[in-house]
Amino acid sequence: MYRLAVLLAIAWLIRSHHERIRVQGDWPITVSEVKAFLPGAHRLKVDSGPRGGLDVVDAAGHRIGYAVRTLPDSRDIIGYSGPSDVLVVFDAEDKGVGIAFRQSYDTPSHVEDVKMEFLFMESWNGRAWDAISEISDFNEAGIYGVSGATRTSEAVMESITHRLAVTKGEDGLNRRVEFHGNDFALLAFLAGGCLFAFWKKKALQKWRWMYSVATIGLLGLWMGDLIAQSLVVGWIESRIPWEATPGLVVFVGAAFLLPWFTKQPVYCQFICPHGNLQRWMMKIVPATWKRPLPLDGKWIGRWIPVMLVVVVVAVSFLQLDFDLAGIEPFDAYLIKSAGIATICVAIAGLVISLFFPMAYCKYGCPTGWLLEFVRKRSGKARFGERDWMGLGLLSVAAIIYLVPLSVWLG
Amino acid sequence: MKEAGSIFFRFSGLFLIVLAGGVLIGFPIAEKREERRVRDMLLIVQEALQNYHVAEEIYPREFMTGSQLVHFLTKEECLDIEVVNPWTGVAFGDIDEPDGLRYRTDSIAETYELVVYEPGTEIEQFRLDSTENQSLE
Repeated sequence: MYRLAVLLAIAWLIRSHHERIRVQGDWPITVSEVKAFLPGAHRLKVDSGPRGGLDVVDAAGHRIGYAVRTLPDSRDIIGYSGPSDVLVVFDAEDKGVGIAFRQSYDTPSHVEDVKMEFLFMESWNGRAWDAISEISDFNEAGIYGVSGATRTSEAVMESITHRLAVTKGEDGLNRRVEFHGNDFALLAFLAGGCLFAFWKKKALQKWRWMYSVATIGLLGLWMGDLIAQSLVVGWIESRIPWEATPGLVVFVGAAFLLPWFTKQPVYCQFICPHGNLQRWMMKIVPATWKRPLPLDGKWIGRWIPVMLVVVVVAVSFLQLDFDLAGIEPFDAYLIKSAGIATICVAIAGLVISLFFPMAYCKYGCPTGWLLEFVRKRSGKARFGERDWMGLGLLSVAAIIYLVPLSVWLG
Repeated sequence: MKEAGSIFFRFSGLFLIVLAGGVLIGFPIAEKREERRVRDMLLIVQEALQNYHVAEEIYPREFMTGSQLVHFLTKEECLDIEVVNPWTGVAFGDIDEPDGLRYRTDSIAETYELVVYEPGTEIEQFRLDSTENQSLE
C-alpha cells in the first residue's frame, strides 16, 4: 500500500504541477498582483476546471475571488503592434473588481495611455463574468475605447471578453468510449499474459513460446504498444485518454495493479515484448558464455533504473527538451519512427543480455522498476532498500514541485 | 579488507550513475535556462524597439545583430536598462560580440523582425515580429 501511495503521490505532484503551468503559463500570476484588488488575498489556488484560472484564497482559507490572465488564450488579438496580457480579478460573487496590464507586446506609450485612463480600467468593475463574456457591442455595454490609444484599448476589451467566453466552449465535449480493433488486441494480449501467469497447467504452458513470439511480432513490432515512461508521464501530465484508447488504458492500469494485487509481475514476465526478446536471445549463446553479475555490480545496477526515474521526474517537472522515449528501448519497436537513442538502448540491452541474462530488465528498465516497486511481496513486511528509494523519489518530486521553477531554470 | 573494497566499488559506481544522470539532464537544463534568458532579452529589446518607433515613427533601417541593436537603442535613449546577453550571461558590452539575435525591417521601415537563431546555426529558435508573431506565448 505504501509503495502504491508513493507512486500515486508522485503522479499527483506531476499532474498538479502541469495544471499550474497550463493555467499560469510562462508568466505566472502572483499574489502581490491580485492583492492590489483583493487586499485579503493570501494564496492562489489553481482551478483545473474549464475556466482555467486561479481561486483567490484568504489567510483563513476562504475563497474570496478569482483571477485570470488573457494570454495565451487571447494572443491573436492585436492592438497597434501586439497583444497584451491583462489580469482580470473577480470577487467571491464573480463580479469584476479590477483589471491590470501584466505585460504587453503593444506600443508602450499606448499601453501607458490605457493604464492611465481610469474610467476605462474601472469600467469592468461590478460586472459579472457571464455578463462580460457575452458582450458583443462595447458601446452598448458602456465600455469605451481610450482616445489616442483606441486600438490598444479595443484589443484589451476584446482580449478580456474572449478570455472569459472561451471557457464556455469546453463544455459538452463528446467523450464516448469506443473500443476498436487495437483495443481488443491489447485486451487479448493482457488476457493471454494472465492466463500464462496464473494457470500453470503443462498443457497450456507448452504454448507459451507462441504467445511470446506473438508479443514480439504483433504487440511490439506491429502495434508498438509497449508501456514506457514517455507514455505514462504523458498521461499523467495531460490526462488519461480513456475514450480514445480504452484498451491501452486498461492494459497499462492492469500492468500496475496486477502485481500489486496478485504478486505476479504479469507484464514484465509474460507480456513485455522486449523482455520476451531477451529471453529468446539468451537461448542463442551457449550457457557457458553466461556470467553471473558480481554482487557489487548487482548493487550498483539496481540504482540505474532509479536514476532514470529521477531523470524522468526532472524532465517532466522542468519541461525539458528531452525525449523520454530515448532512455528506453520500447520505441525502437516502431522501426519507421524510432530515434537513434532508443535503438541504441534496445541493441545494447539485447547484446548485454546475451552474457548477463535479462540484464536490461533487472538493471536498466525504469518502467520495470516501477512495476516491480508496486509488486506485493510475500512474508513479513519491512521497510527495505526499495522503500527508501521510493521515499527518495517522492522527496525529489516534492522538492522540484515546491521550489519555484525560476530557481531551477533561472 | 574485502568489505572496504566493496564499499569503494559500490560508491564509485553510484557516483558514476549520479554523474550520468546529471549529464542526461544537465544539458537540457542549461538549454532551458538559456532559452529563458533569450526570452527575457527579447522582451526588453522589443519594448525598446517600440519606444524607438513611437519617437521616430519608423523602425531602425539597418540590419543589426543583437549587440548592435542594444547599443543603437541605448544610444537613442530608448533603452535605459542593462541588457544581459543570454549567450554569454553578462551584459552586452562590445558592439561586435557574437550573439544569436538578428534584427531587420522592411524596405520602408514600417515593420520589424527579431529572430533568434540557435547558436552557430540557421535554425530559428524564436521569432518576434510586427506582422505574424507578435507574442512569445
